[in-house]
Amino acid sequence: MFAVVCIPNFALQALLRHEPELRDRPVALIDAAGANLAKALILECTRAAEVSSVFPGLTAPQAQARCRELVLKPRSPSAEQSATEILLQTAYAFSPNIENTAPGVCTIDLRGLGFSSSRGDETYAEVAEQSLLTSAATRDGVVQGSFGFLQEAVTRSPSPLHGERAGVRGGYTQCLIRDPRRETDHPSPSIPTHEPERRSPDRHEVAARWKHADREIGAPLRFRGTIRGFFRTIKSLPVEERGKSALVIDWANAIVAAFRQLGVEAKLGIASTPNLALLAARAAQPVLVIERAETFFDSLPIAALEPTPHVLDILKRWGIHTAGAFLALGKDAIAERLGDEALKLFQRAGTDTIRPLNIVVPPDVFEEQRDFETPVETLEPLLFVLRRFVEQLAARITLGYRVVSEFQLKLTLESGVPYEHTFKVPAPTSNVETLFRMLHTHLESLRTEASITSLKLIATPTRAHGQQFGLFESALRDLNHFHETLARLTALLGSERVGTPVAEATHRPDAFRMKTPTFGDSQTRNTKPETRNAPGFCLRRFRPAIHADVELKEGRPVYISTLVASGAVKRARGPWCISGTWWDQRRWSRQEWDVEMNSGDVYRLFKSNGDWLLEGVYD
Amino acid sequence: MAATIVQLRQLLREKFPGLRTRADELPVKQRDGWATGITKLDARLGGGFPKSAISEVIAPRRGSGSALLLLQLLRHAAAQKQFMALVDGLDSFDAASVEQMSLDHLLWIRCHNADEAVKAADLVLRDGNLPVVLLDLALNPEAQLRKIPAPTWYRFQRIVEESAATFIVFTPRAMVSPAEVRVTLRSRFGLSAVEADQLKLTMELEFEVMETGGVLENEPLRRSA
Repeated sequence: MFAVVCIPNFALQALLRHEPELRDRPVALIDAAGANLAKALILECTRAAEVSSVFPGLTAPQAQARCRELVLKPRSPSAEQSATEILLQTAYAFSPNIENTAPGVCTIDLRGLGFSSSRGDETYAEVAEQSLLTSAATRDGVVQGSFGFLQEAVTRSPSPLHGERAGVRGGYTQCLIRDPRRETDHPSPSIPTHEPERRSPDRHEVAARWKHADREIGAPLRFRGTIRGFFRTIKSLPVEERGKSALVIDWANAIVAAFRQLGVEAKLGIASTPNLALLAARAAQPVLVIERAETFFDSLPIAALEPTPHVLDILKRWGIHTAGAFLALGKDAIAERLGDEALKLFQRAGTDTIRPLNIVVPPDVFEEQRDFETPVETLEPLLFVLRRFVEQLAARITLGYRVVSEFQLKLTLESGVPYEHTFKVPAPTSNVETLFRMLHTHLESLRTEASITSLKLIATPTRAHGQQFGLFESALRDLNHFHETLARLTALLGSERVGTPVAEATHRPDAFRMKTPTFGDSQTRNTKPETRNAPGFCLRRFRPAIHADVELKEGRPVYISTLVASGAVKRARGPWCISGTWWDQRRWSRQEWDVEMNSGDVYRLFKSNGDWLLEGVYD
Repeated sequence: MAATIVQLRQLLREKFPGLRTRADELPVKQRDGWATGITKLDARLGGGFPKSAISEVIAPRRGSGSALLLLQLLRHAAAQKQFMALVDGLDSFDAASVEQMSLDHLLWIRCHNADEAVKAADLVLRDGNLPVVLLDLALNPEAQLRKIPAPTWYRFQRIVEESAATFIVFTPRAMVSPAEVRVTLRSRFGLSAVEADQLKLTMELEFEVMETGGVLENEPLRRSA
């Protein structure tokens, strides 16, 4: 089996992916921008535009004359490229064998995915049976099952079943099963008893009604009928048939839902050959599984096979309006009259030829880009777009069971100067709030010399890795939040003023460097203690050291005068002469004194290059 | 009428434990303490500096051992494998006097003045990741300290109440109104202490502990030492 994902109006959807508010408005895609607007042709348009009689092929002025509110958008190759990546990456999350068939079309090989296996089907049936039995005592209960599973069961039900809308729980359709024989004795509060009794619809009638019902995931449906009849239906189905279609439909709905989460409306067709699946995808609303090709072709318009206008005209004059009627003419007879063109049409509708797929592996690139029509000067619109980028990228990466480890933000300024910044996520995550906050914090303190014309965000995915913390060790509760706080502190004070001090390998006093705290790393926690010779009394340093005027007597300080302390020295200890790096330009030497003032305060003085400086106070 | 009020108070007390139902009644607060590792101080504090509350350490003069106490707190936190933030009000912390193992557990925020320090402390407290936060204003000039608005401390109190952090403010005078505990350093070390054993000096630190209950300023409700 093959599945084809088709994104209708691909170029337009690619463009509107980040502007969902425009989807319900009349929007048209044009093939030119700016000066060529008068001659620009409408390529694609939204449904709202079609309602206003705007169709592809019109010129932009014609379209605007028909619809005053029409929004014209030029094609964006970068947006289409991103949408193609999304299409392939999403499809790849469901099957390893995918083909980039055409722009907005991806073919998926379903062979080997286990849809013909009966194990999963058994589970469905067992769940339904168990739920049914639980509620059988009251003759009134709820059974959970997938839409496809229940539809399959009802279609094949020997007894009539009624369908109505109801609730949904946990992604499964809830079905209310009631015994009509006892309905008069125990009316259910959830079903109005004053409902007029109608003729029990034929099972095919019910199935047909549901066929046109909303098939979205979790589409609410309620079933009313005989419990035992419903139960017998499930039990009577062969295991192979019990859930095969159901599983496939569930799988297809999951793909469509994944695309919807990424802001793309996709259609999906499943059939025995790639070509048939493509036709099914184009006709799907939004999922169509072809089990009997003949039935499908009987209702498929001949135009769906995309014949040339000439051939289409001939066929219409012959009275051939459906693909089924066309195929019924016979390959040889048609080829004899219409030539190669007819053979191509036969190939497109081929049910027995499986063409080899050109398998591709989607690029491991996760990036979103937007060129602004008018340069952005303030933070709010930038954050608005950035938020959507983060949501999209997180969703795409999550599809592959991965998390974001790094973001690269690229801004293009109106002056032409690019701006780039890389954000390393301390604890890789796919949480949108955390990721967005990180970008937000940085941009709050960013000042650019010109307005922004283009925004690009590139995400680097990684495998989520677990960490085992020690039983007696404390760990940071939210590492990402902690690093965000560090970023805020850095913005407030500067990078050299926030961090963990690391002593330099030198004897030079107060020699250290600051590093980013690694509180989340195991290395920090396993550091072995080391001893360090330090005086008993602790020093509070003045940074920078304060100039001091020192009066000496017999080479010892007896009076000092500084901005923070002045007075006679009661006692002094020293000098301690230290020096280092005498072999190069960074050489230093100093003469240290510890002095106790008459006030009782104890200071450290030092003389370097002939100047006296107050280094700190002991406290 | 009086009986009704009494009943109402009783009902409120049962429904909201710790609620003050009378103006002259202290709120009932049962807080955990964060031990400092200094036996004498822990004993007087009843187990250590309170968590989820502000504590104030007053160093009325230089040489009273506030830097020594700060160092001891840092070492003790590192020994317990806890991370600590030091918001250094005047960038005076001497990193060279501490072993690297302890420094590895320290987030040092080097501020130029008290205003920056208050802003930085606000960010760190709101972060809520670090169990111990020290705000060192002991060396800041009086002019800077006077500029700190009094509501700032109440804001800090509200933030700390929501977390399990121990927040200790080092000041040269009593200025943190909602401090739950106020410790005044009464030691006076001279030049001879420069070469003395640090552990011995730490044990010689003298404290005066006041449990203010975080209610009133300059009016100690109970004096324990």
